[in-house]
Amino acid sequence: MSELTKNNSTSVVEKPTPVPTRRAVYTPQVDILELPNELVLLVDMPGVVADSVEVQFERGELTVRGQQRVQPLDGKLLVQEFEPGDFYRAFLISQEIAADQISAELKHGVLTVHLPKSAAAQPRRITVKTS
Amino acid sequence: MNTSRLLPSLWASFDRLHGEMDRLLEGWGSDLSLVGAFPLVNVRENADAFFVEAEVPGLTQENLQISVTHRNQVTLQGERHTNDNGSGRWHRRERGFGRFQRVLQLPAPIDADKVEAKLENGLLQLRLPKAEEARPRRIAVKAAE
Repeated sequence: MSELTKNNSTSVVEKPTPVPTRRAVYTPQVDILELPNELVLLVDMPGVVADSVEVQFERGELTVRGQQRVQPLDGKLLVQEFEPGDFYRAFLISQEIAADQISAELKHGVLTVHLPKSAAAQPRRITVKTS
Repeated sequence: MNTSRLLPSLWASFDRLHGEMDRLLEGWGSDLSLVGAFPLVNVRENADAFFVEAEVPGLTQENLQISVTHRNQVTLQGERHTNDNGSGRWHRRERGFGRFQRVLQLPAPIDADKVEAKLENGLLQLRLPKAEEARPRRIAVKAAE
């Protein structure tokens, strides 16, 4: 018999609260390069594995998130310049982006997001005909 | 002149101000000194070894060198490349590039031949075993006959 049926006066079931995450949230350093046909975003995310990375693009807002997975090491801490945390950064992109063609890859702790400009925003070369 | 009577209290205020400034700067000092430092490191120690962890996003084995000098110094150096081929326009450029070097001074000598390094997802982990003489030695106490 489960806990719920035993106590039949219970009409409101409380879901277990997930363990509160008290991790630090970092603003990762980024490079943004604009090329004729796309914007390229490079985000430093050391210690992050691909399955914890989230890239979202909605109404011109690009959000990137990643969770740093650092194996806890043993021993007494002598120097601490960083601690495991999450990376979060969001940008409003005023360029017209072909949202369905956005791609992202994570390599050596650097996330690269390709944001192709929509066809209308790409430069077009007009050939001048000679008469 | 009665400045001599004024001065001590003035100096006292200055001293206090000075102390306040020192205290403020001290609090910030550790962070300020890290501005531009690359890579950021954590260092740990147990009875047998030191452990260094460094954030090296974008680096591979080819552009990172680790060396041990003076028995207790570890040097991390290398080069971060930029993917600028001149055809684009930068909107942001926060990630550093170029050559870097960081020297870590450990409190005890290490055994350079037994250093282990692992580089994964832009995170470097080093295990630096202490030199034999730096390890704690347990002395067996003989029971008296």
